[in-house]
Amino acid sequence: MKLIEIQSAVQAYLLKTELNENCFLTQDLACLKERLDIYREGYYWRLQSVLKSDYAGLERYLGESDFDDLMIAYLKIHPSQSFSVRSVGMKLPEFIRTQYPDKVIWAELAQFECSLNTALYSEDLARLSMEALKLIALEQWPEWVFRLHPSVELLSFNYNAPEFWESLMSEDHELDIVKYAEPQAYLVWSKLRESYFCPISLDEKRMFECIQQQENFATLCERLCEFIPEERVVQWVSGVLQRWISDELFIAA
Amino acid sequence: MQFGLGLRAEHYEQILEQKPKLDWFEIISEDFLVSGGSPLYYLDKIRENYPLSMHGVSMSIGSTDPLNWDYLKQLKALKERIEPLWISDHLCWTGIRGINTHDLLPLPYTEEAIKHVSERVLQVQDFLGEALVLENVSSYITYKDSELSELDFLVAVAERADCLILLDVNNVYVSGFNHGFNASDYLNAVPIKRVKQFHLAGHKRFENHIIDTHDAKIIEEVWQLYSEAVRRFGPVATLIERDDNIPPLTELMEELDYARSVAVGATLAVALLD
Repeated sequence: MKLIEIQSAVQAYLLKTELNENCFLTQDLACLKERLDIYREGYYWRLQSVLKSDYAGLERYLGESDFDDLMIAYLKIHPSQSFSVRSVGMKLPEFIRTQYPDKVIWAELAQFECSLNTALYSEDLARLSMEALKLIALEQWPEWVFRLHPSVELLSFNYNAPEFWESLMSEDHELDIVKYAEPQAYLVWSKLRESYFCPISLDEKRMFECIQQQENFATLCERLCEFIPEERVVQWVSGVLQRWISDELFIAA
Repeated sequence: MQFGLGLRAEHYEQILEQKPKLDWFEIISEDFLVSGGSPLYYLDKIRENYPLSMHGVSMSIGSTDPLNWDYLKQLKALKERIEPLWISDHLCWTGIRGINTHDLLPLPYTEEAIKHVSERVLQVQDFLGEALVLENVSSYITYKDSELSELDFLVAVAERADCLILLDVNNVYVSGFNHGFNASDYLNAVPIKRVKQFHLAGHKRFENHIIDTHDAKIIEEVWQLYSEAVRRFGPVATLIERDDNIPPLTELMEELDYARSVAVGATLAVALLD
């Protein structure tokens, strides 16, 4: 057999339990399966360990047995395609959305945990400080563009998935799942090697989207005048900016 | 002679605070192929006080898929960041058709595989600008088409690619048990000049086979094999690997001290015989 045929046969057993006996030197079939199962079981055990770590909240919610079944179903459709085992669970939120469309809270818990994990490995860039902001000359303000740190992500949930996750991970889990009347926006980001989240209002979401689109400060305020009285908009924007700078959402100029 | 430990996240803070006395740490390269965050923070801090070597698990040098140049570029960038003592990976494949099983799968010991692997090793060495160090993997299966022994295959690749060998003494023991070959004979046939580093690790014994779990203390038979290795190869850099069931750092340091004593004993035995 050619090398590629041998490798195809081994991989087929690991991923689909399809056995090509002609490939292997063995004394008996039972012994061969026992040895091949070391690799096959090792494959699932190794990846399930990573998924348990990455989606600890989802596992607590589903219970170990249902979570394991979900992970096996996921790995059958999404085997790892990265050199890093850290990436193996990246498609889980989308997998749940498409395969279990009625399990919205499952998908939202998974999306939230995925975003928390992704934020942790973002590029380390110097953050914008209040001191640096005070040095911006008045005439530069209209053209000033705030740049988001790469860890910052805007999410939208139909349920209180982030708060419910936080409760799941605490020792005295008491919070119930709540469905919102309207989708609620959240920000997820990292700071000093920890990840954070907070809910944001509709107006804050509008402001964030302007910043995401790299609108300058003058355009940002103009856009928000559609929703906030003109005489209050600069003060309102400044207040939100102060909070977001304190949370280190922006990178230095 | 250098003695080191695998660098594990469980020990980061303690290493920074206590600065334990050992010669180097070995990193799992893929753990640090990230944009930022804790891994690189701790890597840079630890590198300030210790030399590091890079040990990969995803090069998949034996795969029939093309070499992953995105991966190799990131590996090279990491090399430039930490200036490692050397770069190693495994003489194995981890997947084909874009899939990574994250397992170190054995190759058939054939002329086709020797040629295939050697050509890829030469390309990688040319790209990285240094000799690659390839580790012998433990294995549980053998292929009908294998024409050579595992040992002859390892030596042939090393000679053809002019690369170095990371001799995992525990893997020699495990594969010797699983496939019925003599581990001492294996050690005695590996070219001395090619061996750059030893690995030592624990395993799990079952009725008919041993699994290379890296989650337990090193057993006496592997210590004896290590003593034989030191007597043959001399003062080769020795590292203890522990990948699961990670104990406190003090326990691993004690095991490393024992490795030092075994190496000293083996070296003295050679000197006395001379």
